[in-house]
Amino acid sequence: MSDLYYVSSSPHIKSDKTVSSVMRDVIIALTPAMLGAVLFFSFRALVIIAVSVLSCVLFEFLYDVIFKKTRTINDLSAVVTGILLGFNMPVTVPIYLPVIGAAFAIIVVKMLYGGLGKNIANPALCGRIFLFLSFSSYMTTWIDASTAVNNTAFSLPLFSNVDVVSSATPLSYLKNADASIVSSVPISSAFIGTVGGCLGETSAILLIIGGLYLLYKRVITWHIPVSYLATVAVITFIFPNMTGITRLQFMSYNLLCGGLMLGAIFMATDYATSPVTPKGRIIYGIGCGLLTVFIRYFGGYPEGVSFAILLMNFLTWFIDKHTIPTKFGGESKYAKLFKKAKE
Amino acid sequence: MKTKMLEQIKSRYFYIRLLSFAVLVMSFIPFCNPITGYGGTQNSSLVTIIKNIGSVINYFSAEIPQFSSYSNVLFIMVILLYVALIGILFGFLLLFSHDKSYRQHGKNSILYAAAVMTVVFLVLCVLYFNINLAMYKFGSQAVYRKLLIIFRIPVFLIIYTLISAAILVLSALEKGFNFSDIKYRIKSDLSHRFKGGVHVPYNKVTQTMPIETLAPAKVMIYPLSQHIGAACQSLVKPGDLVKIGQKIADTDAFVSAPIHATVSGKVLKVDYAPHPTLNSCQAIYVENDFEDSTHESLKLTHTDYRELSNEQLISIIRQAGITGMGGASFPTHVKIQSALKDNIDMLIINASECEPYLSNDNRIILENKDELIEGINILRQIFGLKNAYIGIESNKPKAIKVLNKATHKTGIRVVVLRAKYPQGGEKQLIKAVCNRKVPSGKLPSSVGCCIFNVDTVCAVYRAVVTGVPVMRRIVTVAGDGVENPRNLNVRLGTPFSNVLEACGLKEDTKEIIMGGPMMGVSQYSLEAPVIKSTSGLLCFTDKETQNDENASCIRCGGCVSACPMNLTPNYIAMYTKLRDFDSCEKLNASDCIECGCCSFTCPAKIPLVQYMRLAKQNVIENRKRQVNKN
Ligand code: SF4
Ligand code: SF4
Repeated sequence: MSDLYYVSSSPHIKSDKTVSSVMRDVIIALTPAMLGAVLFFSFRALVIIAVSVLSCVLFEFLYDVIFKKTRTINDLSAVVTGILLGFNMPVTVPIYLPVIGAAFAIIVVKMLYGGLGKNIANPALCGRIFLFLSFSSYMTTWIDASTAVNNTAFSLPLFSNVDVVSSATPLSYLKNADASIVSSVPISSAFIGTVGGCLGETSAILLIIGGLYLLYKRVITWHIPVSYLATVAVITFIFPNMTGITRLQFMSYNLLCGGLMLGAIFMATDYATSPVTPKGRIIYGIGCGLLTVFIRYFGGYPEGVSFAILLMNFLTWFIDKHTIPTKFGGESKYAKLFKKAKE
Repeated sequence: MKTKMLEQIKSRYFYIRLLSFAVLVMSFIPFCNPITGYGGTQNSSLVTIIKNIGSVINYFSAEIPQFSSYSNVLFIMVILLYVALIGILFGFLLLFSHDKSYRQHGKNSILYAAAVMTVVFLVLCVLYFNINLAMYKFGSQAVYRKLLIIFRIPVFLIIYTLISAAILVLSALEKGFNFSDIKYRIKSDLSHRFKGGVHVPYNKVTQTMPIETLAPAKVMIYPLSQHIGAACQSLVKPGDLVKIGQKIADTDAFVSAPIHATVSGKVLKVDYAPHPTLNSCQAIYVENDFEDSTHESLKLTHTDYRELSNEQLISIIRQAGITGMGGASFPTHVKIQSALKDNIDMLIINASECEPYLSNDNRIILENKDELIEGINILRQIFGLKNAYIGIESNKPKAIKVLNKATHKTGIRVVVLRAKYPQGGEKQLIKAVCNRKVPSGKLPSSVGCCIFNVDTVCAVYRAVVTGVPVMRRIVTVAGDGVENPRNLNVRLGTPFSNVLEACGLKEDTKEIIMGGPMMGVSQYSLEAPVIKSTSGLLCFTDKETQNDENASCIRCGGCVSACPMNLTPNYIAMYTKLRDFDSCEKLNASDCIECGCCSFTCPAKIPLVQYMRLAKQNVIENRKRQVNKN
């Protein structure tokens, strides 16, 4: 009779959360922005995202097969990477670009390091940067989302290359310090998403909805997004580097335009590459915010989010190591220092 | 009767669906839109409003220029209305789900959304009424008779209000709205908290089931080690006759408690027997003669405990073999003595029972509250304290009510705590009840607190007032693997097989656990008997036992924020895998209380607690080795 029963270590119940359910929640949270991308940029957006997702999953599968690893595509993390990578491309990119990006992101950045949880940098982000540096002309050709919807939208060819007149994003206006052009883009359209930019990053409201869903599901904690956005907001409010528009306007453009929302809500909170301790997360968010603003102010590129997050990614373990929480009933570092100083 | 109730519930359910559907549909019909339905000329449906939030305000101030200050309120109302509509929509969709818990979420969602909606619509009613009133005062043509003001509120707004109020009432009825529950929940939110912890599904089906007495088994088994500390030595030989209440094992060691026979009969043998927590251990087998004759030592030598000195009381408690009934099973008399040395000022009774499934403490409170209160009085006398605190989780409103009544004007305070695991852990309970932090590695008495479990207090009462030693234990039998989950009053020494037989063990049971699901111990044999620390027996089937899929850590940080001791289980597990126990020590691995929160939340299903145990053992061994070297 005795060998009938299953003996295990406590606890004997586990939460329903699994890796794949967490990833599924992230995908659900990305859905509004994805729908927005289709709405603003025509069906071609969907094609790009789909190609990116499929190639991510395929590369992971191939890697597993070739190197005889356990299959990991069921955990859906490759899908998330694929969607994020697709979100980081303008709608006009040639259709092979997502495939190249996915190969780099999945094989070089994720799998060579040991797969999910062991990579030191966010795969989607690295994919974006890789494409950005190697194919910068494709990666910086924007079409205005509103014109896309109204005129060219559904005439964009689905698979062949697109020739369109590029328009700049509000962020690059900010870079050029031209107040009159900046204020020609109403804040509300930056909020809703009918401006130029990458597929997934234009609509702040849809990204925020996704972020709220993740918070509600306890997939992410508030620490990173809030500290990241707050840092950017405070600095751009106190030290605007543009004349002609109000501080508040300058701050709102900085918050709403470019990849900041996407970065703060979905990229910086990537599990494997962000600290696990609450204090560490706040420091990480503040670091991301500072770097983002600095790159936007002083760097050569209009967009600083991806480089900022990448740089902070490398500091993750260091931050974790120095922000180990004080154990319950223990003395904090500062209390100990204080005691020593007293003696 | 039951079918009738079911039918009623079914119909309520049906109406909730119907009404929420109506609300959803109506908001898309321009004419019925409560926000812009006012003027009747430029009605727009919800779709238009979604497209352009500002248009509502523009519309409003264009229509009635002098009332634009209302538009701020209106704007907030529009946003609230969206939130509520989305809530109703999701709730409505969830109502069709196959999963019961999702349906529950759906009902909750509809309930809260309907509450928001009702408030919004009432505010809108007031708004429109005010506008009409002002128009009347301005002498506008639109309102010509005072009486008509009320009718100028759009008809559909009133209909909406009624519908959402109806949804509110229906889903409140459906959910079994419990106002005292809400009251305690709010109260507990105001109390102190401990950091971390997890919300576990409570599954307390046995909460409403009264305690039943279980007949003793033919052969009773008394393991000689039932508590922390030295094991006892048998005082009887095979062939001896024993009676109920006779001391059959004891030792001279300080940290120990004697063991008593709980049936009368003949000692069969003293041999190794399966033990619920220690694999196997020496035990006394007694064959029951079913005569239940009591031993002569079960007599009181005093009349009133109030005249006894502390030494006498403590010796009575020791002789009765009382140990902590919470799980750790630390001999109570030792605890009292060490607490007396430390001059404690807080006496805390642990009634929180945070483990899912278990409901024995709850039943004890409901059924034996007088014993509990008298027991607290005895302890108060020992410590010379005027006050005592009972910590109880807010998910037991009935027990809280009973306690509140019983402790009226007795100097005992009932502290309602949040329902969160591990609320019953000593250090967490102290933090939650009196906001003191027990320094790591110290006992609760170092901050002037002393904690007793509910059942321990009742045992003290029985020992001191009626002279009966610890012979019984209230055991919750629950889980999917039993036919009739119940609370049983079981004599110590009854083998698990007998207990489970009485409740009907199902064929497909996969795992049997002594204690709660978070900290209990899996049993390999049903021959193991009920001992002093058996608070529950849980039988899990396939559905509830989860084999670990054990992916690699994805660094989600869930374990770090769940750990009530503020540790970093993921890193400790990592270093344990690398067998780097010095780093584990630096990360305070030895402070882990093995509560299981980290394993519970981990999405990768890593058995973190197992790693923590390994780390803890090695850290403590390393420390000992170092002390020996020096
Ligand atoms: S078992 Fe230990 S490490 Fe895990 S949550 Fe509990 S105290 Fe923290
Ligand atoms: S909860 Fe599990 S997956 Fe998440 S950080 Fe902890 S060990 Fe890793």
